Amino acid sequence: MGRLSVLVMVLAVLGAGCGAPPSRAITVMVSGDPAERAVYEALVTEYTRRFPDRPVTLSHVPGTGDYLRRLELDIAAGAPADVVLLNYRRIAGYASRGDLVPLDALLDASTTLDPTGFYPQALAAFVIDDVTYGIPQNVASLVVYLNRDLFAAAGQPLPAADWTWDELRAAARALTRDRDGDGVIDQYGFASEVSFYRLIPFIWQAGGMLVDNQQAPRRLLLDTPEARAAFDWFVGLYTRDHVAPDAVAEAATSAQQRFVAGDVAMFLDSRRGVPTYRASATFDWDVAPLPRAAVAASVLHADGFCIPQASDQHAAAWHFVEFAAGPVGQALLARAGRIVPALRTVAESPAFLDPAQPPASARVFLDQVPLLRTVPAHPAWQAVETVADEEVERAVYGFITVDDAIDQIVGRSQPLFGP
Amino acid sequence: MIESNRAAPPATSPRRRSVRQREALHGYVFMAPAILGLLLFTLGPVIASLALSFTDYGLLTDPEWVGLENYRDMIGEELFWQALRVSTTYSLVSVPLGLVAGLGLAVLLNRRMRGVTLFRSIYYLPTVISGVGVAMLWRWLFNAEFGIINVLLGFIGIEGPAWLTNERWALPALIITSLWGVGSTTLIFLAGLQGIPGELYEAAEMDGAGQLRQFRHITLPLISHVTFFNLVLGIIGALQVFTDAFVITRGGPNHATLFLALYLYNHAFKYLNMGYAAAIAWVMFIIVMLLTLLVFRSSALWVFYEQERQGKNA
Repeated sequence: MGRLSVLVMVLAVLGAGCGAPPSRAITVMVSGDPAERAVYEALVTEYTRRFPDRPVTLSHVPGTGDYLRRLELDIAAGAPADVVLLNYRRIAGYASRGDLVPLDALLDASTTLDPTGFYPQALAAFVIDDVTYGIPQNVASLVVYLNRDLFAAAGQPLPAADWTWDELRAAARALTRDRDGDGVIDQYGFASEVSFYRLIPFIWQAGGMLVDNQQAPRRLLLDTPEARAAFDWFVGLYTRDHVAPDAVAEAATSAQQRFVAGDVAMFLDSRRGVPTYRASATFDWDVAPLPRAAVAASVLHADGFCIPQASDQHAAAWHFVEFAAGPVGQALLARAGRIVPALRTVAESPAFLDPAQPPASARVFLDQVPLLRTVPAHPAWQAVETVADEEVERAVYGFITVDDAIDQIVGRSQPLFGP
Repeated sequence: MIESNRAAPPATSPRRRSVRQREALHGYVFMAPAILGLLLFTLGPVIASLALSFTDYGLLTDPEWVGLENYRDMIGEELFWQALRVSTTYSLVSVPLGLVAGLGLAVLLNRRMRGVTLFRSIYYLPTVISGVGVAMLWRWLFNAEFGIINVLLGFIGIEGPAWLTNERWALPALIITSLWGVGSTTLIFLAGLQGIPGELYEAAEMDGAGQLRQFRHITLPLISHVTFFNLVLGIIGALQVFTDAFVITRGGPNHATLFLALYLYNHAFKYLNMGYAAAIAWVMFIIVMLLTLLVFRSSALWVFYEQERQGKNA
């Protein structure tokens, strides 16, 4: 027996060590701006501190669009990251093609994660046809970020908990200013990312529906009076009231940058921007719930940790997911401001509700949980939003009417729902 | 080809043939990386894309044969015609403009004067700078609120438009941007200009021809083959414009800069319609092919080759 065969046998024994930690690092892919990146770096650092024999590489792609394109190409190439953070709106497409590992058996066997500990709305968003494809990290929603300094300077009262669309509009008008008198508005009452997703909760609030059938959608229901009213109100803030940055202003400075710079009084956002605002905003800021119309409603913003089927390290990936979505990971992400924890105990803990950390009214997020609705879990939903975004943008920047935008969205999205 | 004409021996002795074969073999060995690369990374995908253009293919799903449906859909698709309009308008303006600017610069740079090599380098420099970086630069130059172009226009009393967010001005802005890369056209023109024998100008001058007439009757005809080359390259380049539109305007505002290549990209990577995107690629290829053929056909009327004339006289 030569030296070589001894070596082979030793290696075989080592390799057979059951449950032995992986030697190769797993890759965790996330997107987001530098402040968000730092949050996930801290998460990975804490994980590797606790499990030094389980190396993790963080892969970070700044923009969401680039992130999704990268993931699609990685999956097509058969080499995706081992853990990916995905919004629940994107799950159905991947799930329908069998690209994600079903997590039910792993979740049932887990000693770290208890399914009943999650807000049911958050966990349910990652379940398609009774199969769980992601473990939620957050149960965020759309809220209004307030620059309290601008409200105070204008003597404008802060929004009440049950404020309405009209009240938002009136406040936005009062807070839109040309501060240096050069004929160009430099302080906007309202601002938002211009996308279909931002508009969706207002459609529900007006009493409208997004699709004909939430479980098996065949078409968008935007051509109803209710949906039209919501569309018209949102677009009108730009085209009629001129209380929000137009195309020229947006090209110069993005809405979010304007808010961070202190030039926007009310900014629509999920929880995602909080690490950035904590790091960069030099004014007093807080959050308020969405204004309401006929119905009180908001939209779920939840991301979940998913494991691509093509990863060859499912066990090691799951070990990381258990940590990240478990009490320790959630508390860490919550303290950094990034998430509204999907675990109830963490959400109700000081890790999230610490009064010393802005936003002081963090409980607004928890109050909105019972009002949360979700977009339908359809494989083509991502493409539907992409198409709708283009038309919403054209309407908001005044190139087409609200009616034309609705016709275009309904017409262009129709083939995506299938024959 | 010149080589083979000259070297072709009347009676092929076995020894000579073997030398020639060996030379040919060496030639192919040296060419092999390029040929292999072409076959593997260009021809393979080209054939694959033709096949995919007849399928419904979402990148992550398996392609499904749909025959000519993608092509039929394209005809009924409003945005396809918009993209075709944008690309055509851009080409019609930017290609002649590029030729005129390139030739003009080449004539200036062809003068004998101090520091001319420095100027030549300066004008060629933009061509070697990365496209995305340059596009970012132009995005800020054209910015309506604090872009330097509108600031400079303000100095002479002109209120500049909102270049990139105004439907009417976005495409002109990109056409202006295209002039930034005129250096390569200039360089090719310059080579052509330097190939014109000086005696022709001397003779014309003695016959009393002014600068303008010399340019019209000597320079232009004698660089017509260079113009032809630049025209073909220009058309192909203009119909494939992508980077500027992708980085500077993202196809907006209101689809005003939705070039064919960007329309293709959107379908491939935003809507994951790979089959349809492949069909767009083939339509683009056919358009480029037809236009190139047209220019080639027309060249008999206006392109003049020195060798041809010598051949006829001989």
